[in-house]
Amino acid sequence: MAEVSVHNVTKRFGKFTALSDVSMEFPDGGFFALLGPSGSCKTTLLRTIAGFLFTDGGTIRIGQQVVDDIPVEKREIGLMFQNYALFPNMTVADNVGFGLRVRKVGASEERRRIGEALDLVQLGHLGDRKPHQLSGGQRQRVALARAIVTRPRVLLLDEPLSALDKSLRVDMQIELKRIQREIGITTIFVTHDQEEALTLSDKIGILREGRMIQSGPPRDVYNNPVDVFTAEFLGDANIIAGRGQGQRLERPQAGGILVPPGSDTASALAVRPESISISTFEPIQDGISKVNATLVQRMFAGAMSTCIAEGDGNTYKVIGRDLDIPEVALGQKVWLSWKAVHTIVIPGQ
Amino acid sequence: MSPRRFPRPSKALHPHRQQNRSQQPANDPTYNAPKRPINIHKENTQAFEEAPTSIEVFWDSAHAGKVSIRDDALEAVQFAAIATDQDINDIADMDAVKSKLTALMPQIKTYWGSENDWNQFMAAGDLEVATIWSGSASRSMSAGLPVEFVVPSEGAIGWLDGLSIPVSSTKQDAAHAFINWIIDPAFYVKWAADGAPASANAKAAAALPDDAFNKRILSDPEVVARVQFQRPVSDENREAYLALWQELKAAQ
Amino acid sequence: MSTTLANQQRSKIISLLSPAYLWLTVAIFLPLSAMLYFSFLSDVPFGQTEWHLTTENYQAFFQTTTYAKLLWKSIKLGLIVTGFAVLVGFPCAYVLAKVIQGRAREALFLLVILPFWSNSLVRIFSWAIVLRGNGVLEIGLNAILPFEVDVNLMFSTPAIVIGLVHSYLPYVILTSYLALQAIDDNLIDAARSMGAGKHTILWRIILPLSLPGLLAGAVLIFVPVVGSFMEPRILGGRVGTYFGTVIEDQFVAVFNWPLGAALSFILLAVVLVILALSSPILRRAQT
Ligand SMILES: Nc1ncnc2c1ncn2[C@@H]1O[C@H](COP(=O)(O)OP(=O)(O)O)[C@@H](O)[C@H]1O
Ligand SMILES: [Mg+2]
Repeated sequence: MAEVSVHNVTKRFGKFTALSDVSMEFPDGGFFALLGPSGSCKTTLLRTIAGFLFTDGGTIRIGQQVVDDIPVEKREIGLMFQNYALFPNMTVADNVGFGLRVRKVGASEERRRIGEALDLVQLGHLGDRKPHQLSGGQRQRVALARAIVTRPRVLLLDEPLSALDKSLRVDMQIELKRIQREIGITTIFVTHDQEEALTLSDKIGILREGRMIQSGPPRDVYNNPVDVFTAEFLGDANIIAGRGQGQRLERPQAGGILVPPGSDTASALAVRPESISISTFEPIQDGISKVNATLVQRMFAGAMSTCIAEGDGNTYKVIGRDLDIPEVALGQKVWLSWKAVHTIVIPGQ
Repeated sequence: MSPRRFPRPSKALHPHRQQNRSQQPANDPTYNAPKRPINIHKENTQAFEEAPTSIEVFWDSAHAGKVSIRDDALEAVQFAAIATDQDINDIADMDAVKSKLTALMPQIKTYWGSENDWNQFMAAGDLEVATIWSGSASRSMSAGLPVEFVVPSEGAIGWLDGLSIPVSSTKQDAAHAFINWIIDPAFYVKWAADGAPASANAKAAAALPDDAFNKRILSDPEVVARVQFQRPVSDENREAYLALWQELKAAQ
Repeated sequence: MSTTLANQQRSKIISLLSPAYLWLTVAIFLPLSAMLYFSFLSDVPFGQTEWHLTTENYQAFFQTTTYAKLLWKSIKLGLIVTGFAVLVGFPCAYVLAKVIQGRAREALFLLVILPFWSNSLVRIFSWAIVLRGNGVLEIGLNAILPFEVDVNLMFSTPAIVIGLVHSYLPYVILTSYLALQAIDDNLIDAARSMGAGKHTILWRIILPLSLPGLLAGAVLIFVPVVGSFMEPRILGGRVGTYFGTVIEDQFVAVFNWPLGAALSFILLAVVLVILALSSPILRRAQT
C-alpha cells in the first residue's frame, strides 16, 4: 500500500491539451473520488496514474517512487473497468489467477490466494464458472477480486458501478467500501455520480476540462465550493447573482442577503435547496435572509417534497420534509428564508 | 469424292486434335493435306555452339533443368519410342519407353501446353532444348526468337492434318473454294512467310523461296524419311500411355 | 383465427426464402448432382457415345498409387500454404485491427483486398514475371545487394506456395481481422495492469479469443488449395502435378469427364473427412 501524489501533471494528445497542471495528493489507505462531467479527463488522469499514458510534464509518485518512466506493467497497480473486462475464455478462478500466473507465485500459492480473493468478494463457490454464466453484480466482484489479488499498491477504478442498476449499485458501494477498509488499499475511483463520490470518499477531486477545480474532504467541497460550476455540480444549488463585500451583499434587483461573518469578496451567492424554509407569513428572526416569492410548483416524493418558487428575479428550488411545508395554493405568495451561515459565498472579484 | 463426317469425340482424346484429324487416307488424291511433322526438337541457339543432331541431347546433363516437352501422354510416349528406336505406332517395349522417360523427367524444367508458353519460356531463357511443331517453330523464328529447328537423326513424330467436308454441308462449293485457296501455291508462299505447316501440295512446296523454313529443313527427302507419321491409337493404348505419363508426373 | 395467422406467416416466410433456395438449387445443387451423375457413367454422354452406369471411375482411384500419392501431395500443399498464410496473415490482421487507426487503416485494408479484385490468372502471371531467373525479384535484389544473387524460384514448389499464399491471404486476414476487432481493448489493458507482457497477452488472450476467426480463415484456404490446379500448373513446372491438375486434365485435356467428376468427389469426401476429424478441435476453440 502506498500514497499517490500527482504533481503539476500535464498531458497532451497532439495539439489538444487534456490535463493541464493537475495536482492532487492521495494519502495512504484512503478512498478517493475523481468527479467531473463527461469529457472532463477523469479517465485520462486515471490512465496516467495507471501508466497507460505518460505525462508531458509534472510528476507522479507512488509511495516514494517516481513512476513517470515506469510502464503500467511494472507499476503494481490494480485496475477495474466499467465493463469489467473479464477474460471470456477463462474461468472465474483463471481470471483471478491471471496476475499471479504472470508473477509465477507457484501453483499452491496461486490456488490459496485465488480462494482468499474469491472469499473476500463472497464468490468462493463460483471459481469454475465462465464469466458469461455470471450476473452483472457477480462479474463486478470477480473483477474486483482480480484487481486486488496481486496485492497492488493502488487500486484504480474507472466508473466501476455505472453499469449496475440502482439498488445493486448501492449494495456494491457498501461492499466496495467494506473490502477497501478490510485490506486498507489506497483507492482512486472515477465517477460522474456525485452522490456516489460524496458517500464513499475520504476526499474528492473535481475535474473540469482537464483542470483540477477543487479537492478536499466531501463536506468541505460541498459547503465551500470555489465556483458556480462546483456549487451546481456537487449537489443542487440556487445561485443568486450579486456582488459585494463584508456581511451584506447587495443584489442587483432587490434587498440584501446576509452572509456568514468573515466572508471575502464574492462573485456570486448560492444557497442549497435543503437550507431554505417556506412560510406563509414573513419571518421576523434576526440573522436570516428572506425573499418574498410566488409558489409555482410542488412535487411530492414521499418523505420529502420539492417546491419551485419565483421571486426577486430568481427561481428557487426548495427541498424539505413534506410536513414542514405549509399548504399553499400554487400562485400564492410565500416567504423563503435561510440562516446567514447557509449562504454560500462563491469567491471572486 | 466421298464426303465424310467429323469423328465423334471420344474419351481420353483431345477434342481439338480430333477435329484436326481427318479420317481421309493420306494418299487420297482429292486432298492435298498439309504435312505436319511434330516433335522435332528445337533449341535456343544461344545455348549451343553448334546445333545438335541427336535426340539424346534431351538427356544430356549439360542441359539439365533446361528441357521441355509438351504435356501430352501420347506425344511423350511416342517421343520416348523414337529415342528407344521403336515404331511409334507399334511400341513393342513399353518398359524401355518408361525407363527412358523416367530418365528424362529430372532434365525437365516445365512442360509446355501452348505455342505461347513455349515462346515465353524460350524468350525468358528457361529452356535450352524442347520439342515443338514445325509450323510453330517457323512462326517463332519469323518473329525473331533465336531458335533453330532440328529433325533428329533418330526421327520425329509427324502427322497429317486433313481438310474434310461433312455430308450434310449445304455450302459444298464454298468449302471446296476454301480448300483450294488454302493449298494454292500463291497463298501458301505468303502464309509460310509468317510460319505455316509443311504443305502436301508439291507445287506449293516448290513455290517457296529457297531460304524458306519449310523448304530449307523439310524439303530434304532424307529428313522426311526419318519422320514417323502418327496413326490412330487404340483406346487401350491411349489409357496405358496416359496412366504411364500421369504416374511419371506424379512422382516428381 | 390463429391458424390462419400462422398460415399467413408461413406463406410469407416461404415467399421470402424461396429466392435463396431457388438460387442454391440452381447454382449448387443442380450442377453438383449433374457431376455426381457423370461420375457414375462409363463415358461422356454426348453425341452418339454408348454409355452405362458404372463405379469404374471410383475404382480407378484405387487401381494405381498415382492418385493417392497426388492427393497426399495436395493435402501437404494445403497444410503448408495454410500455415504460411496464417503466419503472414494473422500479424497483418493484428496490425490492422489493433495498431493502426483511422485513414491509414482504410488504405491498408484496400491493399489487402486488392488480390481479390484482380484476375487470378493475371496474378499468377505477375508472380511468374517476378520469380523467374533474371526476373523482377532477381534484378531488384541485385540492384540493392552488394553481391550477385541468383534467384530463380520459378517452376518450383516454393513458387507454387508463394502464388497460393498470395491468392488466399485475404481470407485469413479478413476473418482474423473481424475476430481481433471484436476483442475489447480493455481486456488487453486489464492484462497489462496485472503485469502481463506482450508475449503473455498474445498467447493467453489474443490468440485464444481470435482462434475461431483464424480457424475459419484456415479452413477457407485449405479447402480450395487442396484442389488448386492453376497455380501449380503455371508456377510449378515439372513439380506442379497435383490432384487438382489431374482433375483438370480429365476435363480439358483428355476429355474424360466421368473420371474427373469421380476424382472431384473423392477429393470432396476426403476434405470433408479431414474437416470432420478436426471439428472437435475447432469446437473446443470456439468456447
Ligand atoms: N488517446 C486519445 N487521443 C486523443 N484524445 C483523447 C484520447 N483520450 C482521450 N482523449 C480526449 O480527452 C478528453 C477527455 O477524455 P476522458 O478522459 O475519457 O474523459 P472522461 O473520462 O472524463 O469522460 C476527451 O475530449 C477525449 O476526446
Ligand atoms: Mg471516462
